[in-house]
Amino acid sequence: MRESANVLKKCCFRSLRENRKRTAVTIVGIILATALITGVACIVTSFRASMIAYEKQENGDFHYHFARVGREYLKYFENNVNIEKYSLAQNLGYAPLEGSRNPDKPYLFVSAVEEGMEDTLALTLTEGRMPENGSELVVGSHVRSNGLVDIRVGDVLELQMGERMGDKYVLSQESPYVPEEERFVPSFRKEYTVVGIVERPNQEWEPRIAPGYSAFTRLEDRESAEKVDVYASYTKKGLRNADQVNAGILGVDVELYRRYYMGEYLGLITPEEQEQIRRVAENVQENYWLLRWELLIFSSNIMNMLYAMSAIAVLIIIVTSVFCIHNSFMISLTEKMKLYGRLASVGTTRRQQKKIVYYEAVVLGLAGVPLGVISGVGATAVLLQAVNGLVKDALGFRLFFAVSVWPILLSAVLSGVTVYLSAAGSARRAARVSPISAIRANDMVREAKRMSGKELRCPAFIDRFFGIGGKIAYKNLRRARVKYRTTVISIVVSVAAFIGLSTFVELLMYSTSSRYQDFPYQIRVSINGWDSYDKAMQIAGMDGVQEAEVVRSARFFTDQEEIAWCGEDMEQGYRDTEIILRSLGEEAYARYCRNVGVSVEAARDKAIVLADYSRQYRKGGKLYVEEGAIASFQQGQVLKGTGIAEGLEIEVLTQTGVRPMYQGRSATGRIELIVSEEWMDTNLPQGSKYDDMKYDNVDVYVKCENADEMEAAVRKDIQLQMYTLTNFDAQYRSDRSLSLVVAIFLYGFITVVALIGITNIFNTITTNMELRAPEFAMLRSVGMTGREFRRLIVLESMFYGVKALLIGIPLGIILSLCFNVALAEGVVTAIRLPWKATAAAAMAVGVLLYAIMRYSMGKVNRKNIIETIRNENI
Amino acid sequence: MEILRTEHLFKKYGKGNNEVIAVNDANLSVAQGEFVAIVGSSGSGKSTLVHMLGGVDRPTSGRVLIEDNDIYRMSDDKLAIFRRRQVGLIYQFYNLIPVLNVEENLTLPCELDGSKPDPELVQELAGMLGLKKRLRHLPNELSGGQQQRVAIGRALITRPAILLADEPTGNLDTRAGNEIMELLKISNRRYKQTVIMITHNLELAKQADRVLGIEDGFLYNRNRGAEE
Repeated sequence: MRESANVLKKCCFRSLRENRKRTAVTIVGIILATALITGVACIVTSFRASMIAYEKQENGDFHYHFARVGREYLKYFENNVNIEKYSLAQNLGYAPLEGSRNPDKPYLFVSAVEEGMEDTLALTLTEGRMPENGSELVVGSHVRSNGLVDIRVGDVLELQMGERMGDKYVLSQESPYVPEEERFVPSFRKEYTVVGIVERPNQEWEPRIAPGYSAFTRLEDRESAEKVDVYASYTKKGLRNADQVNAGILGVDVELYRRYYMGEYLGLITPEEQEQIRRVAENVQENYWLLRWELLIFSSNIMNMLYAMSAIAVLIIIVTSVFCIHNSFMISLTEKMKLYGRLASVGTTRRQQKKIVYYEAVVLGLAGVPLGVISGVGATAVLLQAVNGLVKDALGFRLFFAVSVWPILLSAVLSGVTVYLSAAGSARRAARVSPISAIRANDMVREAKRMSGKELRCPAFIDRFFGIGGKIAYKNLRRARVKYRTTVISIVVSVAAFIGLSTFVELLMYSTSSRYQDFPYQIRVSINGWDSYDKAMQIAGMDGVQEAEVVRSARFFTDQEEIAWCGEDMEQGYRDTEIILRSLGEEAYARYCRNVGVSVEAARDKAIVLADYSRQYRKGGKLYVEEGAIASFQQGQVLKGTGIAEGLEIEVLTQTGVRPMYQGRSATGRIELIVSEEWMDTNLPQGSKYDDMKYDNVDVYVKCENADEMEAAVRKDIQLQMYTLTNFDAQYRSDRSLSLVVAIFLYGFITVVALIGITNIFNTITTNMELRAPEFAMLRSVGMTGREFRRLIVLESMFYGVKALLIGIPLGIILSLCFNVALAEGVVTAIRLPWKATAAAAMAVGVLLYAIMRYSMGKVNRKNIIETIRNENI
Repeated sequence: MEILRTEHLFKKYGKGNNEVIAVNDANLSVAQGEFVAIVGSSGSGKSTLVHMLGGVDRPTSGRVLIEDNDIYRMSDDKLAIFRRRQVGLIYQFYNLIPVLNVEENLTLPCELDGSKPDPELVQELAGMLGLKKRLRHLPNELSGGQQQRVAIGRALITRPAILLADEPTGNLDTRAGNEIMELLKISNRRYKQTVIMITHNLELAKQADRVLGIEDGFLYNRNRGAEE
């Protein structure tokens, strides 16, 4: 059969070459589909690689950490084929840090580490160098910034080393400093020279609650240390069998190790077994997220979602691609019907006819798939480079480009499968081509739906408006419905996807901008403790502050019966029976009084009452905002404290709807009493019995021009201990960046889907025009003028353009409505319809169809009439 | 010796009022080496008949036996193989493969069968057909007569049991038509080739051993009325 295969291949190859343009367009279709699949694979790979790098940076470059391993057991690590590298750290203990201003961190925590440990622990040197011997030291930069101890490179420290002892055990960095429950047991003194400053180590090494600032010296001699911590990175093989490897190192049964791993704290292992495990190392900890990303095992929903999403994306791509490429095979089949028929009349078997199509698929695939893989990889690289900055803003880590062999191979195989699936249908049809179809010289027999004259009657208006050209165009469309279906569906899919996804992106953008839109302040600093009021005032007085409120808050309790609640039937959840006292800071209070319209003097001992709620609800697809009072207060009404507020009294000056800055854009649904600084200070002095009423934090709300500068200034200039600073400007930017990233990916997706659609439409139309060349020639030969002919073509494209839009636009709008309902909760006050996108889609379809028609028309026009008719018979 | 026989061959198209009987109870027997011409006007059913004889179009009922094989009891694939080995078909519109050159078109049936075409036979056929200098040309570089000669060569290359020619000269001028006729006669004589030719040209038909007529689907002997 070798010979026969050859001649068929020859046939196929030559006809591909003959129709160079169509072959090219089909290959472009395959390239696009492959590039899309490869792109998804590359994005997933890159994301994973970026996450691995990020985890290494955040938590350190190791897989397992064996704590306090006896030196005699180091041999288990030394010659272990499953361990790629490991490094050691020896815990030297704590040393009191003279002058630490942070009461929770009175110590330095000194470790001796081996060379290279800075990579393992992801230490970042900001000044000086790493220690080179056992009497050199680097310290964390937060010793200065947080502990306010001025240690500089070159300083010589004499440290009293020792251990923190709890009840029974030596305490570690995991146990916070509790002076009453621990004591310091000194061991030795040593002099260290500070040679460098490092950034604060990651959470793994130094948790937030840790009582000691990290400091590192060099581990000079492995043998000198009784017990060391081992940070080991495993080989790929080792990682896959991590349980066995770990059990091997610990010298226990795998089954026991697994139980230990699963439930050390669940009581799954007995104390004896615990002893057995602790023989080698006190405990084993994994670098959780790094392992998850490297091994790609996730229990987390987010990660499952990532995978589900890429799976869905690939599925959509494969379906669209199969559809599109299948379409071009179908077209090439229609074109070659005659060829197959002739071959059949000479005696090709079905198998052989199928083979031709598959051979064609192989040729096209071999050309398209590698190019597609290359362009997919290239496009992803460029795309990721482009969005890198945005991603950094949005997600906080650098997204870099990475490729590996398996995902690429997988994409290539998937693309191959796509091509195969696309060809399969055509192959089946090719096998059915009978010799008689060639003999009858008519391949339309199967294609065109047989219609009686009645069914094919043309509506009168088309005849009236468009003349004979319109009539022929209309009938053509009706008759060759199947043929045009692919074009129509291509347009429908592209148009609907474009409109729907545009709405999605627009909603995304709108929701992020509306959430932060007229936010009245840009920065909020919450500082722990009422005694930090002075610090808070300091912030309010900084340069660049336009307005600031320094809010102190306290709960107030009164007899609920005393309050005239509005709307008894009001749903719970919109109102809160809690009452809160608030002061705003002197300047802000004066400003607020002005806004409310009362004098500061009159307000001094009284309360300005806020008691509004606002709620949003949806009715008939629209979102309404309802606002109103939850309770009403009379001027002069006196609120008497009960419970812990027993003995307090405050008179109501007025009830207002004017909100202070801190309340933001909507009412809280709570009763809030705004009082003066004086009232707060007089009635709730520090150390009074009312201390329990007070909130823990003093909050500073800052309105300013440049939030980033403000943030930096606050962090640098004001010495704050326990505080959280929220920069809403930065958050807005971050959210916006995220939306932009999503938008870029979505629009990228739409573009490629549209491009596949275009190749499709191009293929269908040009082929059709060529197949109908004899028909056109005949029309020309009976006297149709060029003008009439052009009109025929324009009308034809118009007819099915309109048909496709009539289906595609409503579909797109339905999709948009779905997005509106799903996404818009609490954000959108009216349903936004994608008019712009719809108009753009309609225009694009019109222009595209016209352009393609004109192109193929030009080709038909150039052909000689008689030649065309005669050529039919070759 | 009988090489082809049909038994009560019917072919109907359409249903009800639109029913057309293209071939009506055709019984035909052709002997090895015979040259039979079938004459009929257009629409008489002659093409349908020859398609059924050639295994291309299935009859509504009845049998076609070639060398005692009932060809329509074969599977499609078996029939395709049988056809390319035992039947040579020549059409009015040559049906050459446009992307293959003359030599490739000539040897196509062999290649499809996986057998090596005998180079001597190819040369001999090319010589007989006057195509020796045209072997590398593509069909669209040939005249109509030349294309038809390629088609005849293609039909003869496998030395089929029967050569079926459907209006082989219908698309050609008189001179080219006569040449084709000569070729058919030569192959009939030189290769002892059984030939069944369909035509509406009585002059050409008279050159055959036997002339049959077909009218409204009924097959009859031009000299003696309906075929026995």
